Amino acid sequence: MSEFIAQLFNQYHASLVRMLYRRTGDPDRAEDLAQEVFARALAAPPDNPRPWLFAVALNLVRDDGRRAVRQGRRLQLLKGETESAAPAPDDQFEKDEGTAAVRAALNELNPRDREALLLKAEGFDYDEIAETLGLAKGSIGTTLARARKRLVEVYRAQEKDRHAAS
Amino acid sequence: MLHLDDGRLNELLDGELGETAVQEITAHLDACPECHRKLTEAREFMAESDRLIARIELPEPARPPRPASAAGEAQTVRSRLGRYRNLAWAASLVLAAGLGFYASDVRRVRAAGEFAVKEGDHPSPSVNLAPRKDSANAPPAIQTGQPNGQAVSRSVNDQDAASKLRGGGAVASSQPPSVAAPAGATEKAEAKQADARSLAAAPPALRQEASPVANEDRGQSASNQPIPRDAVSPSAAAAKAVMPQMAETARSASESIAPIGKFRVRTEPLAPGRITAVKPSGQGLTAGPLRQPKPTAASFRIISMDQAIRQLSGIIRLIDGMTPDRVETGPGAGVSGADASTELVRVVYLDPPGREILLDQQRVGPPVEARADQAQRRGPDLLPGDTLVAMTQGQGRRVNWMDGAGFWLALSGNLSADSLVSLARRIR
Repeated sequence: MSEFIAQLFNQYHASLVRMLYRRTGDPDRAEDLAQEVFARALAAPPDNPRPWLFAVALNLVRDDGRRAVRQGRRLQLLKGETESAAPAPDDQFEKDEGTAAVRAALNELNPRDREALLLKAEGFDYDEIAETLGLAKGSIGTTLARARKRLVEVYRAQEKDRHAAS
Repeated sequence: MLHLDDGRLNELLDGELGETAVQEITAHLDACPECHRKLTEAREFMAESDRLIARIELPEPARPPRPASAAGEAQTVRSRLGRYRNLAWAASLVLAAGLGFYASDVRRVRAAGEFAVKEGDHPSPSVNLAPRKDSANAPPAIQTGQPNGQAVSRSVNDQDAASKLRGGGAVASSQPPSVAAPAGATEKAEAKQADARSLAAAPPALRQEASPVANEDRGQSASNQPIPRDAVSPSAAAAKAVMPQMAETARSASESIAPIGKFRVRTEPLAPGRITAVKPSGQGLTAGPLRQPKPTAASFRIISMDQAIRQLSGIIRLIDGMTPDRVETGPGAGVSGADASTELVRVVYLDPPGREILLDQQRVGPPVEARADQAQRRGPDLLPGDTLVAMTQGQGRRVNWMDGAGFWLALSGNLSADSLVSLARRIR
């Protein structure tokens, strides 16, 4: 049993953490969630491990988000708020802005499209994506097409705005 | 055949279609410029999105955890000093390894020649295998830790010198040579090693008596000249010969890394809570910070944690599990959402990649549950319990809120909204 889990860990841990990091933006949280996923796999070994592991991971991410809302912090994402009196330190956050821009564009996708895209980036085929997300296989092509187009368009629009502002 | 939709084209590009379907679609694409254009577009979107997602890679492994104590400012600064110490250590190790290698090289040459190496045999002109008459002038560090055993056996001294140089500590006993001697010399070498071990363990007086025997044995390979009791071994002599050169190298290396500004950092242990620096002129000691951290804004100034706590009437909010890099204060007028009439406290953290995370805070009065009007005068967009996550300029994000204890807080950083909220949850 432990050997099976160890094999799963060696095979999927890095991919799982990467996907979780792309989904959450927090490396520590990604690592914690991945540990939780493998702990659950140890308790109930899955038959089809890869979709199972990633489905549990994405469920944990969603649960985590809902818990934050329950804790009384209403989250409102407002794009493009200008801070005329913003202090200079914000300028320092220009570093690594490429990654931040991609992440911001990714956050503009609806959750299902975003997750389909992230799973595809981890090498999932349509069957695995459908099983992981509980979707029909026939809808995956359309989901990915929409997600890809939206990601690129949002990113390009952000880049355009940024260059216009600078 | 109807035009192909985007889903079908993506299935084609992702290799999800069977052979028959591929043939049908290919035939249609050849005849339909509109679908061909859509395929090209879909291919571009796919390549571009893959490229964008690949840019979000896990950051480099996190730095070692910072000291948990918020009062450990000195410890934090000392950790910055650590890199210089590490370089100094590296220079020392290179010096020790070089001398050790040199000593073992001498031993290897002697073993190959059945302990009959002559002066000219060694490739280095600075090495003199004959007993040195001026060895009494050798530095104490070279004369090994066994004053009476130096003349007993070269292997003892070689090992001692090499071990001492590598380890820097006192040498308790010699070890068998690691270099295999040629046939015929092995037994001699082993016998000499046994003698050396027994002599090393013997009282000094006994070792002095035994010295002539060892000298006689060594005389077979060293011109039968008597060797003074305080003679330095060849490897030690070699070490002495190269020592000034290597010491000079180490000294210049340490000089190249040690100066910081116009100060030179002392290498002895630092007193807790402060960094001591010495002026090269030797005009006395001057205490001062090693690195002068800059405030995050021109209107801000760095203050101590105690000052910040006093400014906030006895309570400060910190991120649980993170150690502040510094604490600043500045006018609230320059920070969006803050009370412009009072100064705020800014706690600056560094995330593993070195980016700054700012926790701004102001004490606005009694708990806001009891005084809701306190919050309302700060603007209609900020009510008690509300959280506003807003994207600031430069892709940074800011979370503003007021907590129940009468604090206005703002957490900002170049992090995702999820990460920022996750950090905000850890504020105590």
